[in-house]
Parts: sequence; structure tokens; C-alpha cells
Amino acid sequence: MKAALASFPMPWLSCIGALLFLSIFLGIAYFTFRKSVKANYERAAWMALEETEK
Amino acid sequence: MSQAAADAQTSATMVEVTYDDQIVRYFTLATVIWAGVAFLLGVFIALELAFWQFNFAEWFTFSRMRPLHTNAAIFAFAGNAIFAGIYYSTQRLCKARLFSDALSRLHFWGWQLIIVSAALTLPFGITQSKEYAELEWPIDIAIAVVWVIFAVNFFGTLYRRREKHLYVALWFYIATIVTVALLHIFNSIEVPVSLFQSYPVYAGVQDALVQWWYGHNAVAFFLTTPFLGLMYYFMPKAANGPIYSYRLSIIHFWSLVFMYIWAGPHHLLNTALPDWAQTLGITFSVMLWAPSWGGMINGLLTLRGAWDRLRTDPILKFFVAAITLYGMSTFEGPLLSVKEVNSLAHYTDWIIGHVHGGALGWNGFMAFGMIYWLVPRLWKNDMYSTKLMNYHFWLATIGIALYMLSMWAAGITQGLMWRAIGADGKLVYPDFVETVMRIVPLYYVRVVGGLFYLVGYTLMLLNLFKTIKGAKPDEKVKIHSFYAFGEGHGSPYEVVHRKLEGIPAVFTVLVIVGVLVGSLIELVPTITAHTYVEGNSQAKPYTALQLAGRDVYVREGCYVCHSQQIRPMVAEALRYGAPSTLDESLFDRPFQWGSKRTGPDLARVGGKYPDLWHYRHMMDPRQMVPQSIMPSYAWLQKYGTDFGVLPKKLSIMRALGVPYSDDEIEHAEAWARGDAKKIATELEQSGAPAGLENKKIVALIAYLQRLGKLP
Repeated sequence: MKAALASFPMPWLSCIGALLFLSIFLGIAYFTFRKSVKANYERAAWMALEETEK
Repeated sequence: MSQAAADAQTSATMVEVTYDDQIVRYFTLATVIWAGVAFLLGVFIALELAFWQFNFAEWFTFSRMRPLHTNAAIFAFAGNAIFAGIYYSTQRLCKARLFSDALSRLHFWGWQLIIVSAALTLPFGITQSKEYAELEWPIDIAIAVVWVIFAVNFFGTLYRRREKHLYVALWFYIATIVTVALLHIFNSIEVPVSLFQSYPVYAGVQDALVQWWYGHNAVAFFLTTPFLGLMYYFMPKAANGPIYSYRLSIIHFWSLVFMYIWAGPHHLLNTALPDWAQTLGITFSVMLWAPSWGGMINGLLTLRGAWDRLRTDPILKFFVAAITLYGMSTFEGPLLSVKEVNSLAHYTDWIIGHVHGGALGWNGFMAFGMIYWLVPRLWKNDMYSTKLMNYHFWLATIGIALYMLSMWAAGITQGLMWRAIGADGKLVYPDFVETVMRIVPLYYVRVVGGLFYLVGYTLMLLNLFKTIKGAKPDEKVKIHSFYAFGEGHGSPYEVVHRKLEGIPAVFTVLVIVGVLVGSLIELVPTITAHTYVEGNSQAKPYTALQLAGRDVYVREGCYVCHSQQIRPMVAEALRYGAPSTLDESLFDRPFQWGSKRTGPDLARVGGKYPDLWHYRHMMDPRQMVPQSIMPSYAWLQKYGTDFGVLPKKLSIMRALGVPYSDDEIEHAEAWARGDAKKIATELEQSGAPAGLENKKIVALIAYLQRLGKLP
């Protein structure tokens, strides 16, 4: 059992994990970087500079 | 804006808000004061390593001062800077006053009380000996309470905000608050023995993994995410331009939060930690390079079109140097996480150089830039001297360069010397002290580097003092007018992430899910690992006297300079013996694998030297090893062992799973006294003074002689 602890005899699990991670990452990247949403995010980039002091 | 929207704005309700900047002033001043303490302690412990004579009293010994230095730098200096910046920016980004003035003040004074408690306990050896989590259980509880107060105040402000969308800085603050709470609570689950001592519920490899899950993510979520949040607020302010790419910030935020939590095992490479956990740690550490540099690129390119201002604006100098050093540290971190590189660098000063590049460069310079930006606005007065700010910048930069270069050279030199094997198959440098002597001159260079940084800080102190002293009193209460929530803003078309930015509760839950995935996958199998190990193990619990001696080892902070983990490498086996195994630390609460070898590994020191050697070595290390830089621990023959508490200690250990019998617990005191008498008698016969049987030194010797001997 100690030998089993030293390794991780379930390569399929890490493969599924990696695929899941890549899918989510690519999904977020696609929805964030598509051209149609560019203007929406560009406005947000100015938020720290919005003058709130009168 | 459409006519309908404009009409809606005109008819919208205006609300008046005053910000609480007094609390920001408090935290700013606390940052400046504690920075001085942290830097002074840093120079002092650097002197102790360069000249052992600076270890002149037990309370100021390196092993007790080093935790005080790290706690002062992380929680006092960086902590107060974070709170100042978060409270200033959150009010403005939410267009709302902080949720509660009373909670703000409780937060401030509670945090300062925690820092003072650390300063009053660590020098007296009241410590858990777990890096960056040394403080004992009553202070742990206080930290949790104050953190909850901070969280309520922060989330309450978000709830009362008048800006629908959360700006990127606020995402990083959210990640900081929830993850630090998670890390602190789970790493601090311990059973009190007395007001000043506790045993963690985790043992051995469990404790190691939980501790470095905490330790690495203290760097991630206390020294990285909040400072990234501050960067996203103060860098555009200083550069007077928007952040380079809001979309890049989305990608790098979620990637960073998800990946960072997995990286803890890279502190335990080539140890007895199961290989699969080490591999996960390496993989995610290397992957972390991308989101880290995403943040760096976003920060640096915010200055696009205004790079010329870098010549004249010292605040921008600090910010740009900070972000550059963040980029260097986050390149070096993944590099050091590669197993082969780690095998050379781990336990050496290379790691110390790496850490200080981040702490002095990224955290220090971000804090200085922010302070120089904030103080004129908080005290309504221009900075007293731009020239002094520039001097500060250059002195500190030279200091960092000297520090990092000397520690890189020291680390690589010593790492290579440790592993050097001659044609005869023997170690080229078998005496550990030989490798120490070679790098001591580099310790002198580090002292000089630290002094440069300290002198730069004193210039800042003078500059701030003059600025604040000459400030004109702000008699008018500033009122800011905003549209009530949602009435002045909003877009007819919102994309997914912008919608999410309008729902802080969902955003926070997603962050928690993000950090929990990696935490659970790594921690759960490891915490259950002992179920399998115990059945096969030959490990026996410590005797009552050995346990008392182990508590002395923990109290004195020996882990600061000595590891107890032999790696599966030829040079390590030749120098120290067979590689360490999981079951050797099965009953170790806390684990003492260590992270630095200023002295040799002690995992198999048991039986290597006679008792008298240990006695003399602890009284005066240079009696046994003339070139040693170790402090003397002569007070261990002055203070007595508390034998009376041993039945309670054994009983707590049994409750945590250590197989002590009823008889052993009941007679723990007599058992320990009997063993101590035997050792003391032998010591006396060998030439040591009489009457040592009740002293801590004998208990410590009993523990040291047990190391590496399973039964």
C-alpha cells in the first residue's frame, strides 16, 4: 500500500482534468476576446480613473 | 448615451457621500512604522548570520528573531499596506463610504494588537514552528476574528456600492479575503496544551502538505493577489491612463486564482511526499508563469504612451520596478519548481534571494509607490522632496540588487558544494561547515544590501514626516455626489463577465470553488494517507522525555536552520544516510522537515555523536566545530523541563492518534525522569556538570539521539 501511495496509478484522471481545464480556459478566453465585446470591456478599463471627487 | 438614459439620469436621485479617509491614514502610518521594524530586524538577523557574536541573548537568537522578521514583513508591513490601499480604493470604486466606521477601527486596533502579540511571544520561544504560521493558538483565534471583521466591512461596502460593476482591483481583494480565511483556518486547527502551546491535528506528511498549502498561498493570496489589486487601482492613477487590457485581466485573474492553490507541493520536492502530489505541484507551478506574466504585462503596458514620465516621476519608478521584479520573481518561481533545478536550489540561500526579490521589490516598492501617491492626497500637502524620493528609489534598488546577487551566488555555490562527488565516489566537501565558510563573505554583502534598503527607508521616513508636519488641516468635509445605485449607469447590452461583475455574491462563490478544487484534490488523499501507512509502519511514538525534548527543539526554532528530510539523491545519502520515509515523521506534530540548511540535516543525527558532544555543542558550538556560525544555546542547561505536564501532552497525542498506552500516560512523568537521570548520569561521568537531569538540555539530547531511529 505504501508503494501505491508513492505513485498515482490513475493517468486517465489527470487526462480528464487537463481536458476539463483546457475546455473551460478556452471557453472563457473565447467569450472574453471575441471582437463583438471589445467596446464593452474597453469602457471598463477606465473605471479606476473615473473622477469621483467634486 | 441615449436620450432616454440621459433623461433617466437627470431625474435620478442624487446621494451625498463622505469617504472615511481617517482609517486609511491610520493604516498608512502603521505601514510606515512596521516597515521600519521589519527592515531593522532583517538587517539584524543578516548580521547574526554574518557574525555569530550578534546572537548575544536567548531572546535575540537568530532562530527566534527570524520568525519575528518574517511576521513583521508579511503581516505588519505588507498587511497594513494592503488594508490602507484596499480601504482607500474600495470606497472610490464602490462610490460608497466604508460599511462601518466602528468595524474599521476594530480592524485597525485588532490587527496592531496581533502584531504586538507576535512581538511579545516569538522572542520568548512561544511558537508553533510552522513557517509564517508560528503564532500560537490564542493569536490564531484573534487573527480569524479580525479577518472576519475586515471581511464584513469589505463585503458590506460592496453591498452598499453605487457602482454596479466590480472593477478588477475588487476581484483580487475578494480572492484575498476568502482564500486567506480558508488557509488560515485549516492550517491552524490545533489542540491547546496550555495558553502558550498547542499541537496541530495534522502530523508528518499531512502537516507538511497542509502547511505548505498554507505557506505558499500566503505568498499567493497575501503578497500577490492584494498587491495586484492595488496595482490595478494605483498604477492607472499614477500613469493617468486606463489599464492596458481589461480582457487580459479577466483571463489572468481566473487562471491565477485557480492555479496558485495547487503549487504548494513545490516546497516539498524530493521529500517523502507522494510523487503524484509533487508532480501536480510542479505542473501547476510551471503553468503559473502565464497568468503571473499576464498581470505583469498588463501593469507595465498601462504606461504605454507615457514612458517618458518614468524619468521624472519617482512614483512611477517605484511601480515599474515593482512590477518588473514581480515578473522576475514569477519567472524564477516556476524555474525553481522544476525538480532538477529544485534539487540544487532547495535548502540554500538561492530561495532566500528569490523570496526577497519578491518581498523587497514587488511588495516593498508597490507599497512605497502607493504611500508616496496617497500621503499628499490624504494630508493635502505636496511631498516635501521629490529628490529624496528619487534617492530612496535608487538606494533601495541597489540594496535589492546586492541582496539578490549575493544570495544567488551563495545558494548556487553551496548547492554545488553539497552535491560534489569525487572520482573516488566520496563527497568532495564532507564537512558541512566547509560549505558554510565559503559563503559567509556573501553574507557580508547581504548586510550591505540590507543597509542600503534601510537607509532608503529612513529617507522616506524623513520625507513623510516633513510632508505630514507641513500639512494644512483639512477643515472641510468633502462631499461626493452620485446617482443612487444603478440609476446612473448600465448598458443595454452586457457581456457575460460584465454581468458577473455586477453580482458580487456569485463572483465570490466562484472564487471559492476555484480555490477549493485544487485544495481538495491535493489535501484529501494526503490526509487519509496515514490510514495506509500505520498498518505497515515500524514507527514507535516518542518516549515522554523525547517528546519533551522535541518541544524544546520546536520552541527554539531549530527548523529555521536545520532540515529533517534526506532527499533521494546520492550526495544526500553519502552525507546523511538513507532517504527519509513517510513513517519516520508519522507522529511529528508539528512536522519539522524545514526549508533551509544553514546547518546540516538532522534527520539521522541520532547516534552519530555521543551525548557529551551534543551537550558541549549546544553550550558553545565552536568547542566542537571551530568555524561554526551557530549560536550558543547555553540557557538550555539553566531552565528546567516541565515534567508535570507530560501526562497531559501524551494524553492529547493519544487523542490525536498516537498509540500511547494508559500506563505510559499515567506514568509519563516518572518515565521521563528515569530516562533523564540515565542521560544526566552518563553526561556527568563524561565530564559535564552534575544536576542536569531536570534541565531542558537533557530532554533535547534525548530527542536528538532518537532522530533517524524508528523503533
